[in-house]
Amino acid sequence: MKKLFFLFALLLYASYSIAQMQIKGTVTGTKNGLSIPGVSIVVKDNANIGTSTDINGKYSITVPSSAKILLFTSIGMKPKEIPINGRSVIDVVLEPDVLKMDEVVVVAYGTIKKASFTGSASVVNNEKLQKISTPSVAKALVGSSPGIMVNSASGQPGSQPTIRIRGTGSIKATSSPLYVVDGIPITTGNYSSFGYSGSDVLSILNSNDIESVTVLKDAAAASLYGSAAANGVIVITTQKGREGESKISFTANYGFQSLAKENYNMMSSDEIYKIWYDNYYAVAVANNVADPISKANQDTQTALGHNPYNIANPLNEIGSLVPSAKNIVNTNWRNVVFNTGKTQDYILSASGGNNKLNYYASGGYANNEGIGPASDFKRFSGKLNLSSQVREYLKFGMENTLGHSIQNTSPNGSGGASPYRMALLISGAIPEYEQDANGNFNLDEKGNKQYNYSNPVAQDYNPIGLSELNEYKTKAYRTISSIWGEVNFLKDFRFKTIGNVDYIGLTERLYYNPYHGDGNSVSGRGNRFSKTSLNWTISNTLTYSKELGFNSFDVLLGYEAYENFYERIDNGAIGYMKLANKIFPELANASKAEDADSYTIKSSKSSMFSRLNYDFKDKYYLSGSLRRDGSSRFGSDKRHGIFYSISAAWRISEESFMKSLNWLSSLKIRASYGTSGNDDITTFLYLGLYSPKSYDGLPGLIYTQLSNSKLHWEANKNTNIALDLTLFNRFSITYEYYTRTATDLLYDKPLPYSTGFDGITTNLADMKNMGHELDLKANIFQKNVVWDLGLNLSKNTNELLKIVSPQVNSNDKTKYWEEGGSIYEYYLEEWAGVNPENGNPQWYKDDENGDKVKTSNYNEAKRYKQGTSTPDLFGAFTSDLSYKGFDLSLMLYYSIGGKIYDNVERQLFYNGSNKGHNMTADAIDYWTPVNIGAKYPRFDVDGNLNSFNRSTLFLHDATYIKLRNVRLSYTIPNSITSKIKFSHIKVFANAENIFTWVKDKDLKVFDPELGISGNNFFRSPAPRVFSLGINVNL
Amino acid sequence: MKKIYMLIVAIIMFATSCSEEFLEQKPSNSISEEVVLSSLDAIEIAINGTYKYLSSYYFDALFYQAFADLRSGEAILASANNYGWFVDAYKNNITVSSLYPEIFWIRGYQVIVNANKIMDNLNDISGDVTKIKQYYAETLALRAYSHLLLANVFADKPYSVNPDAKCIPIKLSSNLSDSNIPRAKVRDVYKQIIKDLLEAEPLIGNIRTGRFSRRAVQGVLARAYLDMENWEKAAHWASICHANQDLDTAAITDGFYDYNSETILGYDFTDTDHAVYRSHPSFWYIDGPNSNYLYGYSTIMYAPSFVNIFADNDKRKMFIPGPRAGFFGVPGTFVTYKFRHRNDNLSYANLIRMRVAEMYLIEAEALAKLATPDYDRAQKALLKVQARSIPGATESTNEGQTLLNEIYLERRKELYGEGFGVFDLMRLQLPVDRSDNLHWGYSQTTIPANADILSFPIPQVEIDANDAISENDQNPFYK
Repeated sequence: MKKLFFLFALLLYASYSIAQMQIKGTVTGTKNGLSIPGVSIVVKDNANIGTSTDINGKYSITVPSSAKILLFTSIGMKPKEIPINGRSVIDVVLEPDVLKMDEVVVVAYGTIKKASFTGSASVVNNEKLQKISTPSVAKALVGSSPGIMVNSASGQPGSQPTIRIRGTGSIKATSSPLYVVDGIPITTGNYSSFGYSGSDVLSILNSNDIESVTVLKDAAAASLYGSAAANGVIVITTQKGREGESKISFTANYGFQSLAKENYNMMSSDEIYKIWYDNYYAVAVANNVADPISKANQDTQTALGHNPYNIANPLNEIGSLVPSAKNIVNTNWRNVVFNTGKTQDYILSASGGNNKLNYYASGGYANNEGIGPASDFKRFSGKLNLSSQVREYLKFGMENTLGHSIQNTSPNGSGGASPYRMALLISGAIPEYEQDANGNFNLDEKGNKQYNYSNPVAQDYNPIGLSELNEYKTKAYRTISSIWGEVNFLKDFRFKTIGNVDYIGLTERLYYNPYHGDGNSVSGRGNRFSKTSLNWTISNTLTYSKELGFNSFDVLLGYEAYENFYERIDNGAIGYMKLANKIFPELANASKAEDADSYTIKSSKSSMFSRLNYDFKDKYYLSGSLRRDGSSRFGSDKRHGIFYSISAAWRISEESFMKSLNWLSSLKIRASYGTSGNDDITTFLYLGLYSPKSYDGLPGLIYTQLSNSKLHWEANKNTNIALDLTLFNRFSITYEYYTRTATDLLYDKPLPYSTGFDGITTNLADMKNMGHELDLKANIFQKNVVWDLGLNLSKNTNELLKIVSPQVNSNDKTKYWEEGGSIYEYYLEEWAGVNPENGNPQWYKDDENGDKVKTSNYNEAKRYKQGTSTPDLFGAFTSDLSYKGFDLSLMLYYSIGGKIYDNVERQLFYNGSNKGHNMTADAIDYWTPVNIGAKYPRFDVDGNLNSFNRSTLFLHDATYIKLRNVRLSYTIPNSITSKIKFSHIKVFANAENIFTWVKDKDLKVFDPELGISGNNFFRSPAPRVFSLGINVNL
Repeated sequence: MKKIYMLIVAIIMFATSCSEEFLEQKPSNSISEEVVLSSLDAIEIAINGTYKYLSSYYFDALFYQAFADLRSGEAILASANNYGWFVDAYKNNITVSSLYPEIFWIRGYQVIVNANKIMDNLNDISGDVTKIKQYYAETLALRAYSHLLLANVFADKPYSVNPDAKCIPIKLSSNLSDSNIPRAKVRDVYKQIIKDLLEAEPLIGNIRTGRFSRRAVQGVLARAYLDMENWEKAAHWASICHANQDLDTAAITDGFYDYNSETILGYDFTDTDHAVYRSHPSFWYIDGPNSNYLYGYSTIMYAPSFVNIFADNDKRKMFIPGPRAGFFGVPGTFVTYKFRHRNDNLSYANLIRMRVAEMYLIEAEALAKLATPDYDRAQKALLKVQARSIPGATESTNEGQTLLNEIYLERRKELYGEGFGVFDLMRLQLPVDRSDNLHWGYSQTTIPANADILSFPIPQVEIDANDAISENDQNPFYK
């Protein structure tokens, strides 16, 4: 007992000897007045005493009585100093920080304060990621900042758009950026045999698990990634647990998607029948056929493949319906193919930590049903990030991303199996279900309607019937797992080592049923594809940071080794069992094996790199980097490359002579120059190769690749000059000017085909991208109502500086490559209208004097340059309005200039060439002796006019504005949520792809947001999405 | 702390110790040329592989035969549901950038370059001299045969019309520095073909029907001399080649899906490496008249006017009315069941490219054309072919042009679908008759003899990349 008294006395003494006091309070934000969790609170001049706010924005801190001022800091908020003045309750309101100079920018191999950053980067944080429905990284990047072009050419769930940072930088190698997740470059791209990238990291990563996405645009930001950095770098940082914040969060999102817009106005079965009938009738009369009505009706029915009327001769000599004729088939195939799909997305996460251990864990499920037949994407995702302060000087951690997806696709494009092609090309005269001449359905023994597989577009084909019987299924498994350790030693040194494994497993099943379509002739065909990609990366970095007076240094040295192992196994079989129209897609059910194939590809890279950052007085900044890469993709004497950058920044507004300007909140200029490379090309391109080709069941080899030992990587030289200006602490302007000169671009130097090769890959071409970027932000209201507006503009021009000889792009055959031109310059036969005298189509050609004259012979038509497919200007306008718990945000995306070549329109206006295919209703305006002013040439039942051959008749201005996202959310006030023991409840409604305005009224594509090449093809377009959701935090 | 330092040092040592070896990787599904060209075993495999290119569907195992018949007026292409296959070729709507001339051209030269590549390296190889001789002869034959096919398709005019007309580049080396080669004259192309074949003939052995044998080389010589109207040599090589072999009835009625006693050259397709849809049998229709239909493309049909040239008892009259139910061909046309598949497996069939009957017909024609015609032997050779298929056929008593017309008619009946149609018309300077009213898509009912449109254009890609060929060198119709 004595001892106890003694202890008590001791404690009493201790507490008296250091006079202490406890302070409590709540931190809220001006924006919507909600509490802010995770605000750091320290005693000024004694940073060892500190705490942070809990999930409800509440804090409690015990400070010595000597403490005078508390410092409140939070990311994205202006720091605030509050004198204590003996108070025990201090509630604080923080204002958003427009300048965000203390914000940390994620760069290559580390982070840097925004103020001292000399390069060009843009950041999309988690808050922004959450502002779109069916969230994905790529969608969040759309319009987020200038210089980034995101094109989603497909509405297939799970597919990923094309992303270009500051233009297209390569011809043959990739033009896609490098992706880095939590410090490690990862594998991206599409491994699917079906053309969709369900395995892409962007599909597998749950965007709720992402803390921020940083796009590194210039050399200062990206050069340190060396031979992989030429196309910019997208750095993804995943969520980490924060000290003092223990949170369980659940988000659910449920919605519907549907076709955003109908495209072409298609002919009805009456119209398609009549256009063929009228012309067959004219031919029959001209040929003195005995009974022209019967002949023309019969020819029409043969061409269309089905008689949509109840009698044999429905049309008479003037092309009108006879009284007894009744149309019994008028199928809208577009409505048959496109449907409404459900989208669901759920994620549950837990995060938190203390001074020893931080954690973030989550599990998610998403199911996205597409608008096309048999197209959907299911994803299971998991995340576990841990870090532990094992010793004072030693930290360990790991980041794990796990994902599994199951994707069904429908074949896209112009292939015979594409339902999107069938949706437009099959005419309304073809019934969806089998029916007799009177329109009565042929029912099977169970009384069900049976799909009609007969049509003149594709033999034995019904888009819906086949989507139920065939299968294009991809299952993807992905693990990105890093383990790292970090040691601080000798005060200023830090050593970090990361080991990473990036695994992709893909199993795919392709199945053509034995009853109809492609599998019929072999009684069903099945293929199984198995693909495995395994990367390992070891990255070691040593940093030294030192402040000496006004000088501060930061030196980085690093070494990285990487190896990729890719393995592919294919198997196939034919001769499936046929059982009551049921399908048994696994190969086990087939009778004969075929198509066995397998191969492995290994590639490796080793790199050494270094960076120096220096700043003086927080005003002048200088940075330089150097990297040496060695890559297995090149021959031994061309294997190594050196990349460097140098950059500087000056914060003019920090100069004393500027301090007096109150309106000027901040002014900074930045400049950078540097080099980077592009080594993302096919492996072994430098070797002369023979490939196996068996003949008569015996091994065979064929000479397939010419050797080029001089092959090396493409080099980029990047310049960036930028200005950051903030006025009145409300308006911010960032202007950047850049040039990207890519030299030694890999390019297939054309060879005469008589060499047996069409070309040889050579480092031959040079290309330049230059552009201007402007980012404007305005904070209109800051108090009760918070209203932020944003506008960004990007202008990029592409110019080929060097190319062997001017030539047509052999891939899409619509572009012309010559020095001084863009690689997206259209080169097409120029449409010269209809000859009013005879109704023939006309194009332009040059006569012997070089004058442009008209010709009706397509072989004589000359190709002229017709402008580019890329826009002159693009960007987005955003508005974020919040009041009390309500938030309303919207984004308008715009793209001005550029052209679309509409290959679909071309096929829907075939002018007799493709018998029985459907046409656009516009094609009714064709030339006849009584309609000589028609837009389209005379109709030729044999299709010999070439009217629908490639020409500018199908080229259109691509200018458009799209209301891309609208989101309304409401956060239920704390006073209510806390009563029911929730810390946070938010409900929200999203709409996506709401409205698109197109300048050219003749442009009737589903969606003007096409691929960069501007060529429209048959596809599933990006859908319109409406969804509702809720976010609950415990 | 000391342990930590040691760990850091260890990691750095390990990481930077990776040497150049780490960056050395090898392909797993291809082999570098040095390896292939340094061993006779590998060269045997490379020659075998070259046949795969020769027998690819866009060269001599589909396109050549499709061009021959679809452009001759005898075959009619399905007007709908043809997936665009051969439409431009059928309608004579070929342009300088059309796919058909382009891929046919490159594949032909690929065969030649593969042959040259091996030939260029055979000198440096030591080993079994018999093998070296065999491989040398085989590559000569491959090169000559491909040049011959290309000449037939791309020559401005056939040899018989103008031996000085522009033909194709003669490619004799795999060296890239010789890549700009001008169009040679038809005369010079045939000179090289004959030279290669005559050099190969005594050296070549007989490996199997799916590869060039001495007999096959003799047959190609007969064909080339026939093109050149060198009647004596044509008759000579044809008679050596047919060697008075009797013709077997089953060889023609049993279906062209496997080699038989009559086959001189063919292409092998196993049950797993055939081209399925993109194959000769797939386009020429179906399996027999009574067995299960197979769904190929099935779009090449024959005009009634062609079917009518066969007597009813002619065993070669293997036609049924087309299109069959559910297909969108042209009503009134006929489909043939001359070409079949094995085991109901679409396109699982060997493709016959040269057989004895053709040699009798070459001999008959050449003998009848000699300065001093040998009508008797010509009639006997003709009868060999007729007697097999027409019960009770008797030896012709015709002479002169009447006999020749009879021989030409027999060639049409005997060899349809086998790559002769329009090429025979061009060689014989006959018009293309498309007056059958089931033809579609082409308004001209007759293409006059020697018309410019009958030749394919030199592909624009070749003109663009080849410094020795200019727009001026293009065939006249496409200029």
